[in-house]
Amino acid sequence: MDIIFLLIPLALVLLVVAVAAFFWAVRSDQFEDLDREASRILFDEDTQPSAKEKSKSPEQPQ
Amino acid sequence: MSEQSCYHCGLPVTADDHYSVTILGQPRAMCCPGCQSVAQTIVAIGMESYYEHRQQCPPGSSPAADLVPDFLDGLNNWDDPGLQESFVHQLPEGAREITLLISGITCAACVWLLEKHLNDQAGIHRCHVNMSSNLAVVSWNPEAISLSGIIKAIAHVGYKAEPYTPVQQEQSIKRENKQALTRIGVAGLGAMQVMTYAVSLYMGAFEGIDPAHETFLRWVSALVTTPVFFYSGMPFLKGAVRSLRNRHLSMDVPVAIALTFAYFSSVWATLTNGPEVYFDSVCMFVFFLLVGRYLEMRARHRSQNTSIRLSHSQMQTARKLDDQNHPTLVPADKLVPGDRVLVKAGEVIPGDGKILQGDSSVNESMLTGEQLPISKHQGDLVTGGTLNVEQPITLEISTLPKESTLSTLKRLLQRAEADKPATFVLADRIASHFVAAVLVTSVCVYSYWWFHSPQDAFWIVLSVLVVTCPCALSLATPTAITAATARLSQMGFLATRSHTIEGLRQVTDVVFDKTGTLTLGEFQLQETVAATTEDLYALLALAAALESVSEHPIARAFHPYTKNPDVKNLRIIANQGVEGTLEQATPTGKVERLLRIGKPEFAAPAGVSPQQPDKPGQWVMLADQNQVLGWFRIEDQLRADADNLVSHLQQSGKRCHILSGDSSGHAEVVAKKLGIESVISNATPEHKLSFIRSLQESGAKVLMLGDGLNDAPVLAGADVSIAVAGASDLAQVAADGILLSQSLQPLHNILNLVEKTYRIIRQNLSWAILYNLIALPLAAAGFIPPWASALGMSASSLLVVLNALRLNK
Repeated sequence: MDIIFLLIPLALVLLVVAVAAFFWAVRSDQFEDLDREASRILFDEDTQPSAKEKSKSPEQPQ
Repeated sequence: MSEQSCYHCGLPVTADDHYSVTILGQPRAMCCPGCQSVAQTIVAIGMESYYEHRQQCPPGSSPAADLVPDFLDGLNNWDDPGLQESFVHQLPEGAREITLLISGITCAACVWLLEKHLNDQAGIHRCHVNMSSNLAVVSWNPEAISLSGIIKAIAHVGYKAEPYTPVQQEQSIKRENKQALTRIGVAGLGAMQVMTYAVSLYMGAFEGIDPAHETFLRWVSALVTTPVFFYSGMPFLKGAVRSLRNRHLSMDVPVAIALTFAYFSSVWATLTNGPEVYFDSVCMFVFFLLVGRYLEMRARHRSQNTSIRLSHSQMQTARKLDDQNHPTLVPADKLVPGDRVLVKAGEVIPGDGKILQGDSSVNESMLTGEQLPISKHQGDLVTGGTLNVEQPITLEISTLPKESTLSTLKRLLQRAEADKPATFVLADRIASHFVAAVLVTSVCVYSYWWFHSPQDAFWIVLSVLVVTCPCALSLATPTAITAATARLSQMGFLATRSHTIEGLRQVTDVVFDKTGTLTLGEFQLQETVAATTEDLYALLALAAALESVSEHPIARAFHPYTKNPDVKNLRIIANQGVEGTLEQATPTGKVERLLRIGKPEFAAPAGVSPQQPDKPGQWVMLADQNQVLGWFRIEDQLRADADNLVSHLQQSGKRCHILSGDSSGHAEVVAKKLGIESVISNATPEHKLSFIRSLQESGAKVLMLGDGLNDAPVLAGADVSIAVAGASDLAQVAADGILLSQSLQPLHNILNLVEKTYRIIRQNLSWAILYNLIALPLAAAGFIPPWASALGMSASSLLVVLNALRLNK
């Protein structure tokens, strides 16, 4: 079981990375709108393309 | 309700409306042309599935009201480059960016609809709508679309947008939110790690572990727990220090004591190879408590944000006149004394000043609550924020915006608020008793073990503190309040203060302000009396024709009626009435009659003393140059469901009162209709406040409902206060809660929900106390190992949270 002397410090490094990533996400406003993100997935799948979108040239990628 | 409701906004559809739109394959009834046009747009742009996904209808009145031409006309002002400077950012390559405040967003489907619709407009580069804050950031190409075009596009799908500049308070809310999140992140990730080490240590305790491994695991746990304790746990430590300084035992005290003991004793055990470490308990404890507090904070922030938005006064513009009397648009807060401004009819007066030119009448309802305009002439002073009703006037600004009447009133209000009676918080009271009990018990337990087995004393006291961990107890109230706040906002009520819900629970007396609270402030024709033999309908047609040119609230009562098209030469006489001429063919040839409608002293023909019908109320006279033709009785409309609400309130044992500034006797009429006995009319704001104080002195807890600026000090003085929909900005700021719907009926449900909330809080508290009563003796006897105490703590907290969530159903 002496392997834990290597693996646990390794896990700690990953922990620091995870904390840093979380701080970065919070600072860059990714948690600003929790209400909307929860339900966003519901809407995109069944959007019927509007008449206007169909006729629109492909210059504006969505 | 048996009648149909509008498919778009949910308001009832009356039998004589025939608006309909085919949505999702079926014809759907609509209540008004506004809803119809919005629904048609939504269908036309291929977003019918909005109706499938939305969870709530948009607030009733808005779409229809926003499509009126006045609103759309006013938009063109936003294209003025001078005005845009203050709120539009220039992006590279000529693009522009703006933050818009959007009203009418109720659920994620709205956000989706708005973004899709805006991204489909030519010239819009990017659009992001934030649902929590109701703010949209839009960047666009000014050559392809104008700012007013964007706002119009938003109006077409039924929302109202206006340029927005964030206020200080929002920045601090945002900072607080981010800090709470990072604290939770550190505690959560730390807790996960430390739990795995703790599990290994428990396993080791049962099955044997190499002492080197055990020491190593303890050291690693200590390393991970240290930032959790000092960074994530800081709010509890600080809160405890603050509460001790104020000599008041708050929940933070035992939390901080338990945390500090557990942490430092574990560190000590790690250093000296002591029997037990509690690092996992420290991390879990911090994490759970932080999550509970975060949810509570989020609900509070949401209400605060909404009230900030509501009281965000629209950016005011003013038409400043230069030396050649040429108007240019400037932001109203840039005006300085001496500036001359032109205020057209229907516009808000941009600042305090003196009328240089023009006679008009001004609606000062935001100051006084009185809906009827007051006439103003050359040389009269007018107040910024009031509404110019009839004719264009030229003003000379007399004060800086900062020293204006409005700003002074805001300061007065803050002072009134400071005197508000403190609300007694149930949980706080129980908490401080509990904390005292735990501390006393710990001391007793410690002294007992000190005499019997000194080496165990410290560890046992620690397990007492951990097991009686006040986690469940301190979550009991916030979770229930949070769930209730969320539920209330779904019901159309924003609780903007932390004590609102507690205050509502204790209410014994409900005080209504008459104008605009029980009534709508919209006048309607109640009765027509003919003074001659002339047909009533003919009289009404004449009156409607005359009043058609005026936007005075009384005149508006006549607008729905059919006009007599022959009335010509209409002229408004400010705050008196309207006159016009009518050519009539008589046997002796054409005769021109001069018709007048309005106040009896104005309309009465020379030499005739008017004899008003013998019935209380507001009477308007119609006359020609020879005789009085007829009388019209105009009355303010009662809000829908006002009578229902009052009878419900009375049934549940609450006393109702009406306080009115009105002297016309109308308050008594309204009271009689609603069955309210206690009426005080003709009351000044000081009167109102002293009435409330006298109620409070007799032991009553007063809930005040009001809307006007004159009510603001009274709202601030009541134990708990609610501003109704359409209330003035200041009243909304002063109130503890804002009722968003036009109907008063939700108030009854709100009070019911508050009752239910307190039932749940009581259940939670009893559970938490029961748990502690069982766990405490066991821990004091030294029976509870650390893993069991952590498990007990988590399970009891979870139970409390789940119980609170029942409120959301």
